[in-house]
Amino acid sequence: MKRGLAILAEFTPERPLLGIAELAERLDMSRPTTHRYVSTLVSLGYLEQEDASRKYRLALGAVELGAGLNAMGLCMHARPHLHALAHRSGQTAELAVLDGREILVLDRVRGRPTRRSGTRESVRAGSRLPAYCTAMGKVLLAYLPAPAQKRLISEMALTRRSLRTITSATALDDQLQDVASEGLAVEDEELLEGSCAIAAPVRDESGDVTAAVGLVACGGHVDAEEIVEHYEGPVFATARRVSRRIGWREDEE
Amino acid sequence: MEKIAASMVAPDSAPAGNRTSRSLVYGLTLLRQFTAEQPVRGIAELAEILNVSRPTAHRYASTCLELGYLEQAPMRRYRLARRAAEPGLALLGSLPLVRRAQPVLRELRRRSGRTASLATLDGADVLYLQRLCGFAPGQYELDRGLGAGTRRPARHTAAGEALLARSGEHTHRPRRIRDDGLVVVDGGLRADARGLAVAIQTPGERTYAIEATVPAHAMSVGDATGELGDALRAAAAVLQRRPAAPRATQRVAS
Repeated sequence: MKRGLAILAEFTPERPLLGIAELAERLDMSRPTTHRYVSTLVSLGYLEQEDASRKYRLALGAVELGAGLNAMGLCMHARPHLHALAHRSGQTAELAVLDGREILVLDRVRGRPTRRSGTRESVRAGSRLPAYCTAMGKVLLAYLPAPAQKRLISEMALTRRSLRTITSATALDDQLQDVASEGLAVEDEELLEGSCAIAAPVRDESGDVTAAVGLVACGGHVDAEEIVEHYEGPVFATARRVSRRIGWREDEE
Repeated sequence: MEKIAASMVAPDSAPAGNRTSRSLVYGLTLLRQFTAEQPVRGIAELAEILNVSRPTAHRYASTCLELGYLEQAPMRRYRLARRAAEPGLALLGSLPLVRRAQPVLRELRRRSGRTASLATLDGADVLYLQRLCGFAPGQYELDRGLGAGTRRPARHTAAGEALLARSGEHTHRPRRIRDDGLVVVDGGLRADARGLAVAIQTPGERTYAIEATVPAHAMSVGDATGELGDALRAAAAVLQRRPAAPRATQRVAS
């Protein structure tokens, strides 16, 4: 089995066609053994033989080997990393995607039980929050292509949720530009008083930002600047780990 | 069909004889048990599915773990590791049209906010090779559990229909293909999904289709075929062109 999987791993975009002799040599296996593994892989639909050269290449079945991984959904991929972030920081870690003008919170992991019934404690996986006044929402808006971002903002009510909510489209636009250049969004009591958050972008295999990882601090005295100072690094690292896990490759950026 | 059967069900049905490595059949069959519905599995259930003893199932799982195809999940269970996607990515990276399609799909998603995907025929099925999930309302939930490697009977989805129409295999049943080549199919990937697709055929390569998927309730067929249909057809036209002229490629990327 090890050797069969090793054969599969020999095929790359740079080396898409391989013959039995080549494979046998590369893997230090006898030709009959190599042939046996290769025919097994052919019969299962992972390899196919090219007519002209009689060499082998990956077949469509190869895509299905990773199907379960692709279908797992962002949440499953991010879960262990959110746990690590929450436990190390003692704060709440969240994951969200953009869903039109709102963000859809996909997961939420609390670092420690908050003594005060915190102001954001009603947020659950599956909750929707406005994008313009949350850190994760601002990250997701910031990386949209300009026309889509403009259109969405023009459709938003920008309702005042607390004293610090950004209610002007111009101010929001300015801040989103900063977010895109810095890669970090800060929510300074904009959704709720007594609640601050920071968030960083998660990229998918195409390199586009498709989700955000956030860290929320609420209850007691919260200070946005302190949160940035303490947790910026771990939030970036978590977002990068989740990105890699869903197929983003750093070298392509 | 035979190969699907072989890898989807118990290895007993896989080709027998000394030209087959049974351990490889078991190992790959084990990996295929990790799905969207069952992303995490334990030894007991794997042993039952493979119809082997628990120590045997454990041995196969340990090898997969050691090779990096599986990783440990809580409660002594397993889930797929990133490595499992690599053969698929290697295949996609070696198909010229798939490579050219990447920036085009990305642009389609960026412009429309809708899920953009690339698919091809595999026997009677349509196999999705790439899916980029959109950000417009309802797209995430619509796309949940779908990804590269999703397989459906070809007649059930827009991409499948577009591919069948191009392969000349649609002789019975009136299909939902329009004069401009756009195919609209509801409920294929998911009950509430509306798919729009166009086939792409370039010399010397297999036929592909690009599909945009929208929540059926969010967009009337008229609206879907309007702006989104135009974007889809434009994307297909870009891919349909021969890649020879570098200038054309630049236009794609901009």
